[in-house]
Amino acid sequence: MRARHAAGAALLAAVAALTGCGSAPEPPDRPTAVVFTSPPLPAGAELLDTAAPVPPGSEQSCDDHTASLRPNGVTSGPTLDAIRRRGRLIVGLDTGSNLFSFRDPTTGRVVGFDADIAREIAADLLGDPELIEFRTLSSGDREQALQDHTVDLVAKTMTITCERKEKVAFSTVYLRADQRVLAMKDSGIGGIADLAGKRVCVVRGTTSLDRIRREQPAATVLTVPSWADCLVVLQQRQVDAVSADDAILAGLAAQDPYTQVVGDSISAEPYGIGIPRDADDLVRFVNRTLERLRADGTWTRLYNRWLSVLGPAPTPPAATYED
Amino acid sequence: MTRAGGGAGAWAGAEAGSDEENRVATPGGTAKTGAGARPGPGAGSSPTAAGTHRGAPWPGKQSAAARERRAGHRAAAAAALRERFAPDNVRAFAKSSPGLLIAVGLLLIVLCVSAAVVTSGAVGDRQHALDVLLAETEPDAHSAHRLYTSMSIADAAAATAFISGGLEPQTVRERYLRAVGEASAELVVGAADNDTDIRLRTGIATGLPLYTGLVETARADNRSGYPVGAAYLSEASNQMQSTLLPMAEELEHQRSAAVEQATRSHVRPPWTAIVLLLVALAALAWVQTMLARRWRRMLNPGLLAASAAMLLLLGWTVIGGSISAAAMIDGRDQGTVPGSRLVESRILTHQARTAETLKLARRDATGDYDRVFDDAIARITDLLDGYPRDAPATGAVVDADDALARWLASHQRMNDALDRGDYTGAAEVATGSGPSESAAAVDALDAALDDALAQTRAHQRDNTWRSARALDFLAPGALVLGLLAVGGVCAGLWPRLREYR
Repeated sequence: MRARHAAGAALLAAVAALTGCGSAPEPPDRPTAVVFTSPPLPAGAELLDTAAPVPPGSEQSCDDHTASLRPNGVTSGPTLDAIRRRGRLIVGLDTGSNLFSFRDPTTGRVVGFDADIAREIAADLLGDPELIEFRTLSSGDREQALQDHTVDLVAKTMTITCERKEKVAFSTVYLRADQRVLAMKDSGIGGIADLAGKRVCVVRGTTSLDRIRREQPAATVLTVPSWADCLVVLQQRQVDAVSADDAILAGLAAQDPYTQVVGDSISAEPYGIGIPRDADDLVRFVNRTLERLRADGTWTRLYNRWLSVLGPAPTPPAATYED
Repeated sequence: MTRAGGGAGAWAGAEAGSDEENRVATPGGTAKTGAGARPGPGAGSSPTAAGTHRGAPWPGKQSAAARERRAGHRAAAAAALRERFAPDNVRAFAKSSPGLLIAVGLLLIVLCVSAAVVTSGAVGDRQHALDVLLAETEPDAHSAHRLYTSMSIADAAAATAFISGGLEPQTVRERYLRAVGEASAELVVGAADNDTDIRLRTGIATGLPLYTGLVETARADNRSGYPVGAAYLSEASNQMQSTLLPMAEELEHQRSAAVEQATRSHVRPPWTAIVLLLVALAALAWVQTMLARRWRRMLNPGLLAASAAMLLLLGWTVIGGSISAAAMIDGRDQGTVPGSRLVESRILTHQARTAETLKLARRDATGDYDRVFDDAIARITDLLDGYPRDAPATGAVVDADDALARWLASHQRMNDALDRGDYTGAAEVATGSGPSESAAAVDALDAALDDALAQTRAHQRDNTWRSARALDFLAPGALVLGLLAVGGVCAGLWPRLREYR
């Protein structure tokens, strides 16, 4: 019986060999799909090296860093005269911060809360809010542009810090924001604590970047040039969350109903207009304009126009002066 | 066995004069030694010597033969064959008159045949290569060029639509769609079969749908009033400029290099074939003088016919090859070389235009785009100024120069407007539809370069075609003439050889 089985098996094997049963030759190589199914990243996007040292935890301390120069009613000075001679105010901002400074798709104009504040300054200085030239700056270039005098001012959600005050001057605080987190509604992310092991998008050269690295070192950070790029990578599912100031995040969330701002405030961010360090006359002049905006209701009007998604307009941040 | 021995007699007899001379017993063997050692018209052609030899048994092998008759005939046959082809035997036979005749005959046949075959092969290969160049290599290179320009035009159109603000103009949208369609079509048409080509085409073919997807996302966001559309467009443009266009440029370079290489190897006449033909002719001449000296026959009609056939083939090859090579040189110097200038100019034109529009779109203050623009324009100016005066399409190049000057003037107005802070005015100069604005000048420049490129391309293709047609019928003709020459050699030497029978 066993012998017959063996003979049968041998016969089958022989038949298989003779009739060409068995495996076909390997198919020819085809390019694999892995390399090209992912969407590209925005220009200048970089995955932050997690091995790089986290910036020091304790911020440089200085006396009340939000204090600025008191307006003294003087409306002329070397910087102011130079701007008047030129006939227009050159303002550095970026066009990718919805609600603050962005390009209106319908008109092509640069508009937003920051842009309108800058226009008010131009109106006071030159008599016409449109005598203004906007130059695009990435966040990381803001201080350098002021030091090089390529722009007269920077109106670009710029947080006043002691470190920055070493290089540039600031106006009084014109808005207070809080750093928070933006995530997809279905992501289960409820705050900065949930970002461990996740990918977070932050703009290079911002206080938000240093903060997120200190507060949540377990998160992987993708840096991009502008906040709009963060919405792009979030929508392309290349990051799990964006961390920025709530006002900026609200601008992103306004463009995508599937996202939401979550978590408590990670830190308070007082915004000031950046001004070259040696331009005391311009600092005083800008503070004068800000005083007017606070006093005549323009500030509240601008807030309601651009930032109503954040809720009803608060009282304008009070100015503190160092002299 | 005996018949085999008899047939091989001529060889065996010649061998008898060498090392086995002392053992030779037969008179035939000795007689043959004398004849073989001193070849000459009288002795060599003696009928008695040949007759004696024919009946002669195997020299020096009588005792062995006797043994083998007892043992069997097969070993004897093998030994005989070995003997016949032993080097000494062959050498000795070659020294005999009929041996010499056969040797020179074989030499002439080999020379004529190899000259004809090499000529036919070289010419056939060249003609085939030129036909491949015409039918595949050159159209593929042109296809890669069109792929590049189509994608670049698509990206420029997308950026222009963005700068114009509001709803994009219908013409700009159509321009974008047409360019994307053309690029996709070029990916399917031009399909050379090597690893780099496949890698680059795969990269472009898989990246292009992502690109168009991003552009459409940007449009949808724009229409919803979401400023994030600008970021999508910037991402798309970055993908095009930093990934897709460099791949298209590499593809273009690679395929142009293939054209240049195919051209380069055919600008010389087929020297190997010509040298071999000259050698064959020299051998024919030498044999004829030798025959004339030895046999006192002044003219040998067969060899003369063979020489005539070889001479005809040589003339045909030299003239046809020179015409063909001259056409290739003309096609290279007046077609490929100026054409590559135009291709580079056109690519730089697109890169400069992209830099100009992106400077506006991004309100760039760093000056990076200005540098790209200025460098590209400087190089285009060099390329157009150095365009050979005697090349075709000089008229179109003059048009291109004019358009370039208008563009630079318009670009200056755009920068002046930007220096005044007049962004809207600058955008109008850069993308407006007016005849004196940048867009019109760039279109004119692009069209002039395209026109010039079409002319140099036609010149190159015409000359390649002429080069290939100059070789028509030469490949089969070489074989026929080679056969005729072989026939002539046989006909010329056979009567001489017969005299030894």
